[in-house]
Amino acid sequence: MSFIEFKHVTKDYDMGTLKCRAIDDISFKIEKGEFVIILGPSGAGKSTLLNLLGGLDYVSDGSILIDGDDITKYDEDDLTTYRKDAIGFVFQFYNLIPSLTAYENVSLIKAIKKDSLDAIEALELVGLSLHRDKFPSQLSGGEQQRVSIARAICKNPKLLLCDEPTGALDTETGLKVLELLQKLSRQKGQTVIVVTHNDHMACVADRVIRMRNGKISEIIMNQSPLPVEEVKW
Amino acid sequence: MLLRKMLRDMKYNLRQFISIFIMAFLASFVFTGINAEWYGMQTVADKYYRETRLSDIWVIGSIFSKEDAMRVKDISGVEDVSLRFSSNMPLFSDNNKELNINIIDDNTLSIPKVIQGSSFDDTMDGIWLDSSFAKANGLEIGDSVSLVFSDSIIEKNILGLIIHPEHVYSTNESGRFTPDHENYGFGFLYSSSLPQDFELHYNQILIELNDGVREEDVTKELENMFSDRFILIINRDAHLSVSTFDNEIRQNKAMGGVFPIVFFLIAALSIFTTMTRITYSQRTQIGTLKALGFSKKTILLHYISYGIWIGLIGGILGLITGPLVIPPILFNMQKTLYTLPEWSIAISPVSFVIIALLALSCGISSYLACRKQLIEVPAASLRPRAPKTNVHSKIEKSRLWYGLSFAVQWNIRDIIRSKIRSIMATVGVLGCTALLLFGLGLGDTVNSVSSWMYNDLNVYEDKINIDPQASIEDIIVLGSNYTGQWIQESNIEIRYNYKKENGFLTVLDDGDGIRFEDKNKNRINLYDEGIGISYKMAELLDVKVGDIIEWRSFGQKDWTRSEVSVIYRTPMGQGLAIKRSTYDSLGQSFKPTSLLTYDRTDADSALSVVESIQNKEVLKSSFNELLDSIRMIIAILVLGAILLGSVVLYNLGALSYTERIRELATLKVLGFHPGQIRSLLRMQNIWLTILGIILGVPIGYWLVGFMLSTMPASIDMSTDISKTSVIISILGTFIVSITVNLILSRNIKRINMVSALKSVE
Ligand SMILES: Nc1ncnc2c1ncn2[C@@H]1O[C@H](COP(=O)(O)OP(=O)(O)O)[C@@H](O)[C@H]1O
Ligand SMILES: [Mg+2]
Repeated sequence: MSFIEFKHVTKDYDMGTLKCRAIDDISFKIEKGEFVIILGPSGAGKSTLLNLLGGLDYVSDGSILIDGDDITKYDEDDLTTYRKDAIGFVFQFYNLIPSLTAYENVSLIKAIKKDSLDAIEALELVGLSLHRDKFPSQLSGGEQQRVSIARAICKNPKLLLCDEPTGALDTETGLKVLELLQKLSRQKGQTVIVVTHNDHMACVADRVIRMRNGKISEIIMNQSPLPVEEVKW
Repeated sequence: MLLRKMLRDMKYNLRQFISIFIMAFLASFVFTGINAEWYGMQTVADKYYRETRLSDIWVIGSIFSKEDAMRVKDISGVEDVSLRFSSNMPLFSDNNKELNINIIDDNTLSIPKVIQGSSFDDTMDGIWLDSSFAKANGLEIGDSVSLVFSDSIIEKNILGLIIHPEHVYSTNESGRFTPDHENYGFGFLYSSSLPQDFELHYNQILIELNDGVREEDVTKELENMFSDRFILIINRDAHLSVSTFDNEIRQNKAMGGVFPIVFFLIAALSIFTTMTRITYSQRTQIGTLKALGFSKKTILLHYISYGIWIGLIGGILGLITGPLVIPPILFNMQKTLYTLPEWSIAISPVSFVIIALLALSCGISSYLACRKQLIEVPAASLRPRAPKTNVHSKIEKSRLWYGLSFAVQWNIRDIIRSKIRSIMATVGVLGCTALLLFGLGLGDTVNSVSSWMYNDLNVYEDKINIDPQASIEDIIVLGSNYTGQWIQESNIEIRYNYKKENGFLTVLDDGDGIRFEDKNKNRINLYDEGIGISYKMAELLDVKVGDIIEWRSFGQKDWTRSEVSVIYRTPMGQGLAIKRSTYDSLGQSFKPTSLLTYDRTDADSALSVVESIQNKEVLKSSFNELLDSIRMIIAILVLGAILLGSVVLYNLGALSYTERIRELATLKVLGFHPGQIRSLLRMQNIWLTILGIILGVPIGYWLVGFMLSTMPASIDMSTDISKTSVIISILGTFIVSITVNLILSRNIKRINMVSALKSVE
């Protein structure tokens, strides 16, 4: 049994008169501890897929098994618990709470999850312990994204989902962030799924899923993925 | 952490939160303040009545024996009885000063409270005197007091100074409204201290009822028991002191209620608008929190807590300050009217309930405001907001639309698009106008009663009250010296169709001292036939012109039947009025109690025939004093109205300014001058202000009417608001509205076009 299993998952968006199929009968598997990259052009359905996996939205059809549990059967409360316990999210625009400092943004998790990692530890892990008392607006984009990663990993999630974490960053900073994510996967056995549209990155992942028009066009397994720092052109 | 987020969010939206806070604070400040005042008075009075065992029922007659008292005590439901003799006696030294003297034995009911000197003890020979009277006349313990009773003089030394629960409001019922402690007081002495030859007959039975006994049952028993003689049965509701004091409390209660309700509403509404805006702008944050695994409940609670905290802190602060600030101001006035053992505030449980409600309604408003943002699935909250589908309203589609100027179009669209904000602004203006008009109108109404009563109805100059003991000859002599109108005033009972009320009877001889007006305040005359009934009394008894009513005056056993020929209005002293000739023809004998003179008299009040002389101006000013506490509350209301208006409008102005900053920046980029933009904003402001005023004026009228409906049944007042007050309310509202707008529109110059347009979430 795989760690994650999508079975004929379909997602339609109701747009008044017309229906928009964002995910079209997708099935695939991901194993525990894998570093997965999802590639595809804009509008391919990558975010939708990640949202479904993260319990942020409901499928229209099919089922998603996590560790054998079908999360499509969950009601709202179950999904909240699932997000709280199992999922760490990293967004393209970081989505930090602007009125809270870096440290406070991370320790926010303590309010919902008692056995979460220490916020300082998490900030150290992403190399930001010096900036802990700064507000998001006082941090650079890369730093904000690292806070957001710290916030995601301090939960000790089963699954770390990153939706274009490098999308709003310059290449250099983006690579640093990716390097951090790969390190987490390698050192802690963390399952990480990263959405990106940077094709160069395909070689750093254990598994690469390419999407197009709501369907999976191919899945590639890398037997020996490269460390991110070696990709630099 | 979420608490910190809340505090910082509040800091970023400081203006809004401060104004909501101020409104929550004011609502609680005024409510708990006025509440602490009347509730304190009520608590003190209740305790006072209980400690002194104030009688529940007074049976007043001419002679009661100890056996009568025993029989009364045997009535089921009667806990205890006391007998006493009570009579007003003038001082020997100055017959204008009068004491209500009560002669008691080992009485247990309605016992005075000694505040100085020896306590009650029937072995002591002397008088316990009204402390207010003693103070006003410079009398001290040990001084002697001589009283005239019938032909004898009773001289006693003062043993102690007292206050009495039946004299919380202490007047001798002769038309004065404020107590005149210099000329009227009361005293107590034991029958054992009376001279041997003093013929004591008890004329009052005081009754204390068991808890939960129906007064009517006992009253009925009493009526049967004494059906052979005339008695007057008075319960606490009919007792002058008790009921006047009760009414005072009732009015304070009503006024203290109206005002906070408006603030309450506004606080709740503004928290709703503010929270709508905050949650709207924090959509992504809400989505993020959800994605992080915060439950809907936690997020909801987080946003609800904004409202609850503000309501709670504002409420508690009001509760701390209101009762400290407001009651002392009002007590100062109440002290001139009422005598109580102490003046202390009491905070009623209702105050706490109100604060809880305040916090709750702020919380509910927050809930309603952010609920919308929470229904979406987290994925949707995280996506940029779908652009508002700009449905064109009906007006925009009509042909008329194209004829309108850009400014008008812009404002109409803006109002339609931000309905809540527009409604809020209108409600704020409405509240401001309504409260202003309420305050000023109540003042007008109250003043008009005084002028109605003393300029239109009572046109005499002096009222010479005649000593009840005076002989006919003396009265005739008096009449030959002064021209005026003779009247006879007495207390009567009136009944019609099984309904019975106590009232006043005025019998008028020829003359023009008292005038009458009909329902619409047109002057009318009494008819030679039948009897006139006052409007409020007619309402109470449900009597119309042509109905036959029955009445009898104090001391009479038989009822007299009369046909109602006219209904007249009078602000005070509801009852019947009849011409002397008619009265005589009914077999009654006219015995004047007063002479109403048309000019200032120089009558010597020392004349034995004259009991007292009341000048109209003096009465008028005493009446006005009575209304001072109302005026003070009015001042508070007017101040509140102005504050309310400014705060609401400022809050909304600031809100709409932030909401529209991008739009305004765009206009600026397009080349609009700040002045043009300002006039654009002013136009909307003026529209909404006018709308608020149009709605506020009738509500102000209604509030005055509501206030009057809490007045005691014996007072007939009708809403009488002067044009000046209406104009002042309207202008005042306009000034507040425009000033606030001016302050806000100064910001327009400061709009930074670049940053305003850049800051897209
Ligand atoms: N809430 C939504 N309502 C309607 N259509 C949506 C919604 N979210 C996504 N879509 C549509 O689904 C498709 C896939 O979107 P998305 O998953 O965001 O693509 P990607 O992240 O790969 O760029 C797009 O065509 C998009 O327009
Ligand atoms: Mg996407």
